[in-house]
Amino acid sequence: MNDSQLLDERIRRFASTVDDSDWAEVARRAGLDQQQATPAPARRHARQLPFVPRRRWLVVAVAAGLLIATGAAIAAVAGVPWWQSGTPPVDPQAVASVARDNLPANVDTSRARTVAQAGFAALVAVPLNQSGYCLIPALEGRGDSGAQCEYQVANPASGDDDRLESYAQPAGRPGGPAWIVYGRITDPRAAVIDLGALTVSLQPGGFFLATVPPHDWSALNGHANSGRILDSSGTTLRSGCVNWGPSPDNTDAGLTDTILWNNGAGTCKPQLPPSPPTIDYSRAEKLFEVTLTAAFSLWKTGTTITISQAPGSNGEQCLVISGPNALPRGRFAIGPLGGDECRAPSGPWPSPGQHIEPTLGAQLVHIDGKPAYVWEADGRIDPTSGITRLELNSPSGTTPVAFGAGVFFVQLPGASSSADTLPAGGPFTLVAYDSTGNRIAQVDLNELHAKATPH
Amino acid sequence: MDERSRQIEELYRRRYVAFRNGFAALTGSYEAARDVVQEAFARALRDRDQYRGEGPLAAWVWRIGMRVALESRRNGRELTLDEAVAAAPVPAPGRDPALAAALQALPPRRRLVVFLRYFADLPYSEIASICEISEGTVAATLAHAHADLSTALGSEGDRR
Repeated sequence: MNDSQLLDERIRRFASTVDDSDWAEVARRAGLDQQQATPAPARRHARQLPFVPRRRWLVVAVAAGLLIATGAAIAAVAGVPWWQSGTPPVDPQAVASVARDNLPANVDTSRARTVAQAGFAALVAVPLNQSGYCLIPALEGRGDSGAQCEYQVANPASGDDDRLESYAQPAGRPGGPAWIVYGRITDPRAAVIDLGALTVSLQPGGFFLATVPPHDWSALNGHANSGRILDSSGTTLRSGCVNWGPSPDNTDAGLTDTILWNNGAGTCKPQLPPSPPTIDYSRAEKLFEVTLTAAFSLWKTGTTITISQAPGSNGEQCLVISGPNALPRGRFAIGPLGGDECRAPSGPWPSPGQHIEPTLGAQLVHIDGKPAYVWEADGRIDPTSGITRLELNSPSGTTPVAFGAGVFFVQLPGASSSADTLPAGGPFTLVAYDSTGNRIAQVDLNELHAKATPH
Repeated sequence: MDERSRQIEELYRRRYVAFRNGFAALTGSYEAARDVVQEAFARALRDRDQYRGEGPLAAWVWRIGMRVALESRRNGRELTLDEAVAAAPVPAPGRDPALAAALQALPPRRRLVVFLRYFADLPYSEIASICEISEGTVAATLAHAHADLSTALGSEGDRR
C-alpha cells in the first residue's frame, strides 16, 4: 500500500462507524404513524439515480469532429453577453448530443456558442442557470472530450468560478499529438493571461483556447511556473501557479485534463491529477462474449465483444470490454458497463431480496439518416442466488442474456426516437431461473425506466 | 406507506452512518450530526412530494440536511456553508489527534469535500451534486486536500 492509500485508510479509520440510527424517531418527527414505518429494509430498486443516458465516448468523438469543422471567426460584440455574440457551432445537433451525455439537463443548447478557436481545436460554451457555464473542448482525435461546468459565477473578480485546463493528446490518436490549454476567466477586467511560456488573449466572455507549441513540450512537461492575469493596460489583476501537467510525450497524456491554474502567489509546485486505479490487464479473466445486435460504444452491429474482469491496483475487480481478437487494454476501454466498472471483490450483496440489479443505457445512432436511440441493459446479479439462466422477454419473443461472474449484458430489440422512451415492442422483462427451471427473479425494464425518468 | 416513503426509509437504513459522518463536518460533533440526519429525513418524508426526481434522492436529502445544519448553527444570522464548516471543530479528535489537527487546518471547502468523500463515503458525482460543483472540481479539491494532509502529517512525523 503506498503513502496515498495509507492516508486514505487513516482518514477512513478516523471516521466513526457507530450506528445509532432510529427510523422510528424519524417517522415520529415527520408526524407519521409509527406503524407506517416498515420494520425491515424495504424493497430496493436497482438504482436510485434518475435515468440519464450514459456518457458514450464514441458519440462525443463524432460530435467533437463536427464541432471543430467550424471555420468562422469568433465574433466580438462589446457589451453583449457572450452567448449572443459568439458564432453558433457549425452543428447544433452535435452539441446537443454532447450535452445529452455530459451536461446537466437544464442546459439550453440553443445558446451554445463557439467562443474560441486555435488550429484544429475549438471551444464551445453553453450558459447554465443564471450565471453558470459549461465548456466543451473539441480537439480532432480526442474521443472523450466531455464537458466541464460551473453552476454559478457568484463573484467574477474572485476567480473562484474560473476554469483553466490543460489537455495533452498523445501520438496515436486520429488527430495526432497535440496540447491545448483552455478555459474561462470570469473577471470582466481580465484581457490577457500570461502563462509564462505562452501569453493568451481572452475572447469575449473571458474564454480562451491556445495550443502549446511542440518545441516547448519537453520543457513544460510536468512543469509549474508562476503566471499572471492582466487587464488591458497590462496591470496584474491576479497571480497564480501554472501547472502544465503531462505533455503529449508523457505516458500519462490523454488520461484526463489537468487543472492549469491555482490562484495565489505562494510556492508553485507541479501537481499531478489524481490517477485512476491501474488495471492489470495481463490478469484479465474473460467472463462472456456478446454478438451485438445494434451499435454499442465504438463497435458496429454484428461485432462480438468480450466482457472481462481484471484486478485494479486498489484491490477492486474491474470490468473491461474489448473488441474481437483483442485483449482488453487501455483505460479508455473501461466504461460501457457504466459507473460500477470497479468494485470490491467481496462483501454482502447490496440489495437483499432482489437478485438482479439492471441499469439501462442508450446510445445515439443514425438509422437511415435519422437519429435514433438503441438500448442495452447491463448490471449485476446476486452471485449467491443460484441463477443459471437469464432471459429478456417481450411480447415478440425471448432472448437469452449473456452473463458470467455476476455480470450480465443484453441489448434491447428495436430503437426509439427519444432518449426518454424505450423502444416499442415492450414491455421488456428480465427473468432469471435456477438450475431446476424455477423463476427466481424478474425485473420489468419499462417500469424501471419509468420510475427512474425525471417527471 | 407509499413508494417514495419506502425509498427514503431504505436510503436511511442503508446510509445513515454516511449521512451522520458527513454532517459532522458542519456540526462539529457526531451527536449534533445525528440530530441533523434525523430532522433531514423527517423533512424529506414530510415533503416527499416535492422530490421531482431531478437528481439522486440521496443528494436531495443531503441538501435538506445542509439547510437543517446551517439553521442549527445560524444563531441569529445567515451562515454560509463555508462559514459553517470553518466554525465546526473536527469531531472526536482524540481518535487521531494529529490527523484531526491536519483536517482542522484545511480550508473549509476542502475539509467538507474530504468529509463527504472519506467520512460519508460518497462518490464524486454525489459530492459534486451536493456542493454544486463539477466532478473535476471535486477531484481537484481532494487532490489539494491530500497534498495538504500529506504535508501536515509529514511534518508531524518530522517533529517526532
